[in-house]
Amino acid sequence: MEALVQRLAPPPAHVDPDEYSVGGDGEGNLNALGVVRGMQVPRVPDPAAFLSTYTNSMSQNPQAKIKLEHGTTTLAFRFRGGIIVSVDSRATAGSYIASGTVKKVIEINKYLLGTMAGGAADCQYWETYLGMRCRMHELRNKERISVAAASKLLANIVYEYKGQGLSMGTMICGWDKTGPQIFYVDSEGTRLKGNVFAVGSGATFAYGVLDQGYSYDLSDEDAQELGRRAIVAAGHRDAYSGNTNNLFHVREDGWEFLGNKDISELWYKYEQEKKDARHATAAGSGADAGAGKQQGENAARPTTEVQPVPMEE
Amino acid sequence: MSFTGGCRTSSAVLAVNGFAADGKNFVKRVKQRLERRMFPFYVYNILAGIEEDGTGAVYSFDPVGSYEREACRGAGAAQSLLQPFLDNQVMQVQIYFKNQTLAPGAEPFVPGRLPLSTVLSLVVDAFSSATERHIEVGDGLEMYVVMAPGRSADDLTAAEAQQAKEWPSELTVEEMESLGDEQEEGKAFRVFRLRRPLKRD
Repeated sequence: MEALVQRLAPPPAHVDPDEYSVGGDGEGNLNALGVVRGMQVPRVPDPAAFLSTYTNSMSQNPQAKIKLEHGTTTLAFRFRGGIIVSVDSRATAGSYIASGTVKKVIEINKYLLGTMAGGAADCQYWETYLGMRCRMHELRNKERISVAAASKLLANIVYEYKGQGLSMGTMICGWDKTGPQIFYVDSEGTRLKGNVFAVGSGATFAYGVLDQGYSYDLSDEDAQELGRRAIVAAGHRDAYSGNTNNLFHVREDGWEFLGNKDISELWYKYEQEKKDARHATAAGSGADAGAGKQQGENAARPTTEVQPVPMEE
Repeated sequence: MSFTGGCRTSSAVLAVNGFAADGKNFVKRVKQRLERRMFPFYVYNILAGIEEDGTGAVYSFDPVGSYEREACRGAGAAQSLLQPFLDNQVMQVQIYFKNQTLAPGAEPFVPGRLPLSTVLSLVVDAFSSATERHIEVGDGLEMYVVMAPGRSADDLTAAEAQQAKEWPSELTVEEMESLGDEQEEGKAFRVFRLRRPLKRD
């Protein structure tokens, strides 16, 4: 009978007696060993379903009362000169722009960067925690943690919470003994090594620009520009991405922040440059217009205004 | 289901907004530990105070703990009415001030250097406007002003400041009593509570 009752009873609430007392043995919500204390989980059979009723953490329920901030377009790619990490800065809660100044690149330490997509709090919290774990590794082993190991730490942590409503899609980028490395880690437990990643609602737009311009042998300057362009494209076309672009370059001696720029200003600057370039070609071809009718038509074509196609939906 | 409350320390005030029971419980526990990712408090927090370097700081939080230092933040029912107004009038970088057209020859705003009386009028106007367009906003406005140690409070307490043209009408100012955890005399933070009625319909 006892066993039967136990089997049918709802899962025990993770009530930590320390939670209600001030202080405790460790720092913050960590115990003396530096391990995160058990989180309080709703006393229901399916915590994730419960959460999605009240929060929009997985974008399933737009009617949810608690609108958590969402991250949006982030990208990172590996090339000859290291890694470029480029992100936007918009956080949306439903259709409201909750913030336009979010820092979506989390500086784990001097050599490691993490990006933020999905739940802003989850990324901030767990990547800061990852920073602590990386420091512990350094102290214990007298050498820096590899990017592979760091990303695996994170993947293992989030896997423990699988199905309980965490939401994060992150790229762990850094330079270790083996050179520049990027690992994609998400809250489903996926962990992938790769050269080019884009994460978030604007990722498809970013991939479009990235794939078009990417080569491993890009110069530093071209790579940085490609990172900017991809985010600008995504920020322009994806309503849930935008505001400003933050750009980082990871080199052997650590990461460098390359600045924060307004996405729409960049977009219109690029558009103007394109227009100027077209006029320059048109003018250039016009100079030898006597070469024939065929060529004259070609030269005229780029300046022709394209009629916008009305959007459906 | 709307609630606004808060608490304070000697150098900071916390504004809490959201579900009343969660808010009160949150304030009670805020000095303790918070770990509620899987079972969020339905509260949005704004923490404001004077940073160690002497600058004014505003930190905003979402219900599960993502946070950011900002120049300016509105939260709650009329967030979407307040924030665009504040962005336009108060904020300093990037998207802010952007949509303003200055009169020809006018001095551009110097960020963060608005006089106190201007700031108070802005806040009062923001809330009066929100009251006009949002049914859950109204009755009364409560503002807190945290002053860095050594800063003169004359622009808040002096009679001539309060009689100036820009000073909002019907505003009462009271200094909050010391919490007793400040350091030496004269180096204490001062916190003022300002109240003003809003439309009651």
